[in-house]
Amino acid sequence: MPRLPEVVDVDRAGLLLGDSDDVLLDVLLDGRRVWSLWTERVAGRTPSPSGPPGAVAVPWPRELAQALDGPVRMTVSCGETVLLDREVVMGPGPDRVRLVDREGRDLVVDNHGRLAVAFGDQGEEATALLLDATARLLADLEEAGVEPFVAYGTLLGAVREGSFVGHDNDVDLAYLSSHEHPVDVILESYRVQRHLIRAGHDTTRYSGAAFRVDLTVSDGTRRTIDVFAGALVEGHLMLMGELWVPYDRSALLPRTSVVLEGRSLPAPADPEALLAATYGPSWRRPDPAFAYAPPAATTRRLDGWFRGTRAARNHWDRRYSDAVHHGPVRKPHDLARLLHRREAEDCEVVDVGCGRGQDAVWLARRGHPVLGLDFSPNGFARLHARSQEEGWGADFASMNLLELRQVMLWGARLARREGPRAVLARHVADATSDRGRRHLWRLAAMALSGGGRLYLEFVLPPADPPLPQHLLLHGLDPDQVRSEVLARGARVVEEAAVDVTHTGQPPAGGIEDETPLRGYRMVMEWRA
Amino acid sequence: MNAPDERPDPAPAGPVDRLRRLAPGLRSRPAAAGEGPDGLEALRARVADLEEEVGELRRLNLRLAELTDVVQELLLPLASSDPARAQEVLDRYSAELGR
Repeated sequence: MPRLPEVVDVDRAGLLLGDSDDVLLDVLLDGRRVWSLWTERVAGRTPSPSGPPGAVAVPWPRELAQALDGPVRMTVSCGETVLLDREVVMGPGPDRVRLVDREGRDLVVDNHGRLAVAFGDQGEEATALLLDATARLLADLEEAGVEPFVAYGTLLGAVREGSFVGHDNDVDLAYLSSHEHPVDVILESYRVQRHLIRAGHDTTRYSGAAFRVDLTVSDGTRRTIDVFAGALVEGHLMLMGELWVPYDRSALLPRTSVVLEGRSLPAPADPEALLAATYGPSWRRPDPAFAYAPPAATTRRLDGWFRGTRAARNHWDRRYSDAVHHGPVRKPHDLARLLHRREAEDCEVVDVGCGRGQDAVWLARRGHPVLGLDFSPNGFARLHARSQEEGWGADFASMNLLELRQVMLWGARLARREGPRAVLARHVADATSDRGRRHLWRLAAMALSGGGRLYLEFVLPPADPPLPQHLLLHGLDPDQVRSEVLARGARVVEEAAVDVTHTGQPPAGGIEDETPLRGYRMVMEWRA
Repeated sequence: MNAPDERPDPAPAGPVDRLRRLAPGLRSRPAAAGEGPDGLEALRARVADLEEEVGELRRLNLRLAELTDVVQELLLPLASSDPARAQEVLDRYSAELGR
């Protein structure tokens, strides 16, 4: 019998648990399970000096923490054993805590720590619609020339229960590439994605070898179907996004089938072998708190081959996910004002990393043709819609600076346009990765190949204290920036240290909410 | 990269053989590592260097794939097109990138 923890305390920060074995706990709010965790493997767990010996503090997952505001009956149990069951007040909110989405559907914490509508909480009609959409996608994948099969949680549910896993919330599909070299596997994934886009699917790329298809089923629930590439490389199965294991082709092909919610779906030749490779030998035992923990060498391999195009993307998407509901932002940043003073009125402006788009709109309303680019389209969605309605002349598009092909595409598109041009990049170089920064210089060099200036602002490396993590920025050394841009054929025509000041804008968790930081401004020029 | 052997590969080799060719020091260092803490430290540093170098090589895959995609899907159609068709090719490539 494993040792169970005592729930020493519970508050808005999280749970304080006494010493125990690694056991699975369920957290229920007003009697409904919303989260499950393994006491020794839960994210963010830290020893608690204030509790009894061996006690650990377990923080709530971020989205759950935000929702915990008000009274609620909190239950913590381990199997049949109830460890805590009492009415608690989790904040000043007057209403009982209800974990529901905008349409009132029950939410649970998924295995990425996010709130989602679990399959177990969706109605039969929604399940049927999701299966219809899956069938359409499978047919389109076949047409794209690959042989898809269900994998990960979807395969697990089908084999173990004949249904979706109750706490799961997406559909996982995979295919075995006919290629072995990572370059060919990536090119094939691009080709398959293009085929699906032509067939009308809405897709978002995760990496060079995986993307997702976004769906809204008729009751308004948003679901995703992940499409992972697999390949047999040197006797191993590489399966995005977690697997690198010795494997035999005959365990994958020819495909067989499994039954999910009464429908037959394609499966690998030996479904149980793939489940054992994915979840370990105990895959038959349900584990609502399961989190993938591949060996470090596997992560290094898959990161090296395929990843690096989504650095900080989830954080930015989350920051902007509610931007569409925020009030308008009108006040421009100083860098946009500077550009407007220096450039002719008809000078086109490309606002790279435009965020919510306030600078783009401000400049457009002063006569500049403006294109705002950002990899997180949630940010500019509101002002984009307004700009189109009102004819402000600011256009927006999503562009991922971390993908070289997107940078080359936009560079080529901009280089073809007539007329003077400037590029505005405020807190982009200091927000993106080294790869993204190199791509920024490439984009500017291409966009300004006919001559023009890049207006750049970034934060300096702070002496002390370090930059708050939630800003999603890291300090840059002006000497380094100068030498990188010089190597791209530009020269610095203006530079100065600046305060990155508070502009009094609505809270978006952004830099505007902070006390002044030390920043740096550079204007670089490319000559025709 | 440390002293790569430029001679052609005499026979198919596994990953360990290839690593040894890339880093000949690895052959002798495990023995040296037993000789004292300095040897072990040097081995740790060497493994860290090798991991970094392997990562650097792996990262070329995505870059090469992206460039190949641009050449295949954009440059080749653009090279044989009139200006209107060129715009169409650019627009189409953009529309089919996903998000």
